[in-house]
Amino acid sequence: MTELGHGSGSTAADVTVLDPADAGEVAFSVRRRSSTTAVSWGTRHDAGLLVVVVAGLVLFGLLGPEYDVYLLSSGLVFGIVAVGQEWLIGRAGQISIGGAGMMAAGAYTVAFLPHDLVTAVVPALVCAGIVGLGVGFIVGLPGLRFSGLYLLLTTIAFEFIATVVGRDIQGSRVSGFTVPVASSGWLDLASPRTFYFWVVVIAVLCGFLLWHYYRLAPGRAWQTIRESDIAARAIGIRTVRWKLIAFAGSSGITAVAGALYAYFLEGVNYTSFSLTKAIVITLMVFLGGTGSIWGAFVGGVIVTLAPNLINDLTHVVPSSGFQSWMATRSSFIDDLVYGVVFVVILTFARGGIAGGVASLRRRVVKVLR
Amino acid sequence: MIGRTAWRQVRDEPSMREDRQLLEVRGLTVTYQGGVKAVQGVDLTVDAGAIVALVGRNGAGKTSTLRGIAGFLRGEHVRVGGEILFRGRPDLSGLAAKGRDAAVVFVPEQDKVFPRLTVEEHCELAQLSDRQISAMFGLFPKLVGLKRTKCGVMSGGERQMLAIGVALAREPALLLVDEFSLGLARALALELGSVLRRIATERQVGVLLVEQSTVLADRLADRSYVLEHGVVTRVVSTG
Amino acid sequence: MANLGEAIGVLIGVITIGSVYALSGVGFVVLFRSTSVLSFTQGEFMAAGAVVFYLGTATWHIGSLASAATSLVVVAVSGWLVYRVLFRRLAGAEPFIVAVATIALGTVLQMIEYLIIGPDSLPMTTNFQNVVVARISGQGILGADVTAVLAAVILVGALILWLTRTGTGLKMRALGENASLASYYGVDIDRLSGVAWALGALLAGAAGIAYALLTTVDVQGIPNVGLVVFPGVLLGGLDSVAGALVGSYLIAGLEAVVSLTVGGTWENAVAYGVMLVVLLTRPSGFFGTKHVVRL
Repeated sequence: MTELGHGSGSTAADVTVLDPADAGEVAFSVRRRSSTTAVSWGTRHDAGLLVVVVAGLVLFGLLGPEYDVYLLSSGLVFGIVAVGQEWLIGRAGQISIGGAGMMAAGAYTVAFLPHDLVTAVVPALVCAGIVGLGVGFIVGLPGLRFSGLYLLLTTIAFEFIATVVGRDIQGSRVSGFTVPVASSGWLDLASPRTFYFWVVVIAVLCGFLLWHYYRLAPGRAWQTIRESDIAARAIGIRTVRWKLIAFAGSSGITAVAGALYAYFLEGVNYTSFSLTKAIVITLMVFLGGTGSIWGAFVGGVIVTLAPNLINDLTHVVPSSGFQSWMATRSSFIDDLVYGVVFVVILTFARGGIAGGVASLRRRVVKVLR
Repeated sequence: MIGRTAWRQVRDEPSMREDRQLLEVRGLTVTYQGGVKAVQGVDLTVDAGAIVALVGRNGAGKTSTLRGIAGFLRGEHVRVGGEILFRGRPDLSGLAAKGRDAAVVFVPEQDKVFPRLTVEEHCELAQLSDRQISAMFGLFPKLVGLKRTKCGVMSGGERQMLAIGVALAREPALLLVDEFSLGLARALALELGSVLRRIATERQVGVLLVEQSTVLADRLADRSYVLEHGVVTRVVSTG
Repeated sequence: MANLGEAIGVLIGVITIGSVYALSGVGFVVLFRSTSVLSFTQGEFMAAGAVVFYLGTATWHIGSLASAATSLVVVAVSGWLVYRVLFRRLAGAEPFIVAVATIALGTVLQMIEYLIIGPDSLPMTTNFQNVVVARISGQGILGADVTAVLAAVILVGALILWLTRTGTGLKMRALGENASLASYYGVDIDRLSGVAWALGALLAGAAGIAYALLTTVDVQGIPNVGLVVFPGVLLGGLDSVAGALVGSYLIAGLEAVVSLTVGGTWENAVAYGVMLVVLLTRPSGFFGTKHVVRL
């Protein structure tokens, strides 16, 4: 490594893949590597840990204070969103800032479905998922033409246009559309505990299915695509197909979470799905650490609950002047904290929470030996 | 740093064998991001006043060897290992990247000139003195007429002349040239080769170049290293 | 179009807003060409310029010119600091990570701006921007219009002179074309990257002052104007100063047309719609170099 200072990322590509012979070499090494590193949630210890975490979530849902259960359920919704986006950003390496738009697809589906379907919940969630798949497929089409910055710009353009369209549809309804919920039984999503368990079940389901899916061939296909598109094609991976699957699937999961969010808010408003929200969702993925399901999940929960934590922390300072100063500026300070955390993660700790935990574990194992 | 006084000493005492050894590379490895080892332990030496060629097929590691010596940008995520001794001093930080000092100058393969800059601007960028500029035009008179031409519209041969011309005008002790004859007509390659030979002999400059054609390498160079899969398989002395 | 007067009024608006886009867009291009950083922070640097200018005129009472100068210096130094502290470490990171980092940086800057002057949009306390300087067919040209156009002409003109006539400008152009070859020519890439950040921020800051004079100091609203810069710059090909100029005025014109025929809420969406079409059909824009497409 030289001390030349700054360099552009594109030059590296020159060296590695300009020559077809080199591309073959790269592809070979990628394939070899992926077989050893594709699984992140795999060992028996992790399975044990998972059981403990799920048991903890269930216990908390049964016994925890109702308000905390309510708060955590919103965190879990964004945990699902982050897991969905991690599929696209982390696994397939398709950089997009479109998470909020995909959530909106699910949320608006719920808002426009007939009353009976919405109160029955399951059909509404399925519909939201299907609409999400479709939206992801469409947004994914330009992704086939190019990647990297151009894809990023495209998704931002989509997000921007979606917001304007949402605003136009909403028109004069300042509070947006309402989402009806059944008033009793296990479909009563207005009850915080019932809603909480719905979210936990869906989160565990998504996590398990994806974990299982990544262990099969697709996980390796995406990893190869992420490392080098050209190399992936050189070893016969159908990049078009896998990219579209990642876009559609990720969007489907995100849309289901968006539908849950609509139930949570008992309504839909375009302001919930702004470009800022999309950026925050990307932050969740990076905070958790790309390449890890549980990391993304934890990232989603932490980022969503951070405002409450920051708010609680301000009460530790025993000055009422400081508290009121903070109270009038709380939303800026939340965003300031997001921004600072994001910058710090990107510049100093590229692996996020999952990366940090993994390196901690390696160190502990080393010490124990 | 060491600057020009050092090679004056070398020139003044050509009989001393150790001092004639300008560049010595031992066990050079170049590893790209993703773990591809393009160079897996290359040994080579370049003496002052000698022309040395690296030959081999595409992907054999010639360019990587040369760039390992010249230096990569931080953003290229390339690891260089082994030992590189320039005038007996170990230096792994990229010899050609020392900027103004210009003891080692590197001419890359693909983008060897700036397409939107003129010939004059290249001279200005390299901070050549008037004397150095006229020396360059003396070596390649054809460039005089192209002074104000943007390099993007020049032919491959003209670009190579400019790149090598500027490189030589910076009066390096060691010149590294990637893909010396690629895309050049044979006659032109030989002409450029004779310029290199003349400068190498006159100013005791060491030249290390990458060459696809073994025939040409035999004619141009004193010694050729044949590379296969990142290692030297044969050393051919022709000088 | 009902009559000539209205048409001229619209044209004045287009030229003024186009100048704002052009300033910020050219700043973006300078940064992108030399460092390959796709910056989403231009809008926040615009707001920063407006905020410091506002503080200078309304709080410190140091006069408009001194305020503008202070503002530009503060913003340029901030840009340089951002490079030294953060983006220097990201040299060579994947381009999208750097781009996402600029988004995060934008959030940080915006929140600092909020903490300084609050979220409300504040009217400028200076008067010259509302003075009618001249009239064409009954349409007044305001001080704010003249300021925007003059700022664009002077700053972009100075930038082009600097790039073409000075040694450092030449190095900057070399760096913009090929960073690794430039380093072999002895160009100090690290130092010039800092200069590029400072210049990008400075041009954005000037755009911010000009825009705030046309409207108000709105820390929330100005960054949205910064986002509209993308379509214009992309139309010009991301890495071409001339392209950014042409693209910026084109987008301003298009927005005016849409605003007149369809309605105001759609004008920004149209800019982005154009951007999508350009992305899908001609990603290198109409002035850019082809290599950018590979990113």
